[in-house]
Amino acid sequence: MTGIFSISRMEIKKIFDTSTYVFLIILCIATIIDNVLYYHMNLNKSIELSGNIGISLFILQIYFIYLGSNMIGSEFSFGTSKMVFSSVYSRSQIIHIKSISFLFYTSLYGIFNILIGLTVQFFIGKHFSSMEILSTLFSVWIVYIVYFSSILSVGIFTISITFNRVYSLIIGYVLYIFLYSIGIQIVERDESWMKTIMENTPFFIASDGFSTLYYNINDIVYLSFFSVVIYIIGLYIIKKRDLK
Amino acid sequence: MNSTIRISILEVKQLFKRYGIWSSLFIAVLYTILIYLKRPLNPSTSDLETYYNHFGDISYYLILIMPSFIMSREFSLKTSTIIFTGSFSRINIVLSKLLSLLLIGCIVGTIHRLLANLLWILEHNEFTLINLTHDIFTNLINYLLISFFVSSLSFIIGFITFSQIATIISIIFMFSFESMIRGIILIKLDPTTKFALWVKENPLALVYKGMQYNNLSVSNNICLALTGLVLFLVSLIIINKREI
Repeated sequence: MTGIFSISRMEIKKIFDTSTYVFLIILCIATIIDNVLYYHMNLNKSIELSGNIGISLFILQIYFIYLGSNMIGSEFSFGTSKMVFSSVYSRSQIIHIKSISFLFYTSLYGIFNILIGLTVQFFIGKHFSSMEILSTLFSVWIVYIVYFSSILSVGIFTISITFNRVYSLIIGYVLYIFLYSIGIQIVERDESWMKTIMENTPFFIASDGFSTLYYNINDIVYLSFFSVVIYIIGLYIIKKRDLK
Repeated sequence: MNSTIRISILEVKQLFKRYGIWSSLFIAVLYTILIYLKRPLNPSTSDLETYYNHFGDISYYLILIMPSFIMSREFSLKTSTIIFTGSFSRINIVLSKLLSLLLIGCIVGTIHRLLANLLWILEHNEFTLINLTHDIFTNLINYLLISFFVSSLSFIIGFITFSQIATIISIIFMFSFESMIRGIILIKLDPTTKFALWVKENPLALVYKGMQYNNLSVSNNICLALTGLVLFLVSLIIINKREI
């Protein structure tokens, strides 16, 4: 158990490299721009307390896709996969530990999102009850976890096939950002089978819910099921394949 | 100069041996054909530009990502030391990479224009050589300038970060961020002001405009060429000064 915790701690430490600091600086700038613009333009926010909206939420999406593809992909890119996956822990255990650490790390952004929102609302002069804050905090936190789980499972699956984090990153971008932007147009303009297919695609549901910071129960169940299935398939392939 | 051209042709040949570029082109063609098949039965207006922008949805990303694959890959695969310290000067190597990217841009641009023209011809049953080659020269110039600008920008990022994944993320992020900021700014701005014009016609926006609508003016072309040239010169200075 101590070993698992130390691996988990090491994984979180590993996340904090230059890219994270660059991302955090960009996220802070985008968050300020977002909130100032939204305030000046009197645009509605999806959730009253959410601080990361629009551009900053989009940056988070790209960062999550990067994390999802980098979690295992970096081991193959840096040639450390043999060392990491041939330790006393099985490949599945290593991937489980990494996944939990990454899920914990990314879920913190959900809390960060609400904290910024609260600060902005405080400056504007709005007040909320503690119950309201807690329920929003919980729902946004769930949105972050569900969204990142689906990205992570797709990342593991693509890495298990390609062993290349760049390909995994591109596939993630295509599925979660590009397909979503096309999906919006199809859903708005089309009334045929394409609309039905697009509306039920997990990637569309995941991105659509994340952009509004809201998933209904059906979405959560569907996305969780999808993530678990893809995650298990990815694990199975990694277990069966020879490491590079 | 001959050796530079030889290297760039070799580079293009190598690239076309990979599945990545073929599958991207296949998806772009398939996507355009699917939209053509789903067209309304009685379109209000239709000209040779009707099916132009669909292929651009995907080729846009292809042109953005390709420079990272050709140049930054050398740093990721650790072949940069061999290449940049060989018998050819660094300028020669960078020039050959740029030439190969321009060549790829020409190939993608030609496919883009021919496909759009061909689909219109099929729809209207008006097969003439003029219709088939409509605007092909303008399109080639657009693609050449866009490829030049994007390649120079990628070279700078690649030579600073020495990382393929960082270059890809930075490029995607810059273009996405710019389009989002542009969208938000233009909601409230008077479109006749100089600032609005500058926002609308900055080089990053011109790349999208050129690939989606093929309507770059002469001043747009000059802007892309000049900024591309400046960026290219900066990238040459960086690579000459840096230790590899």
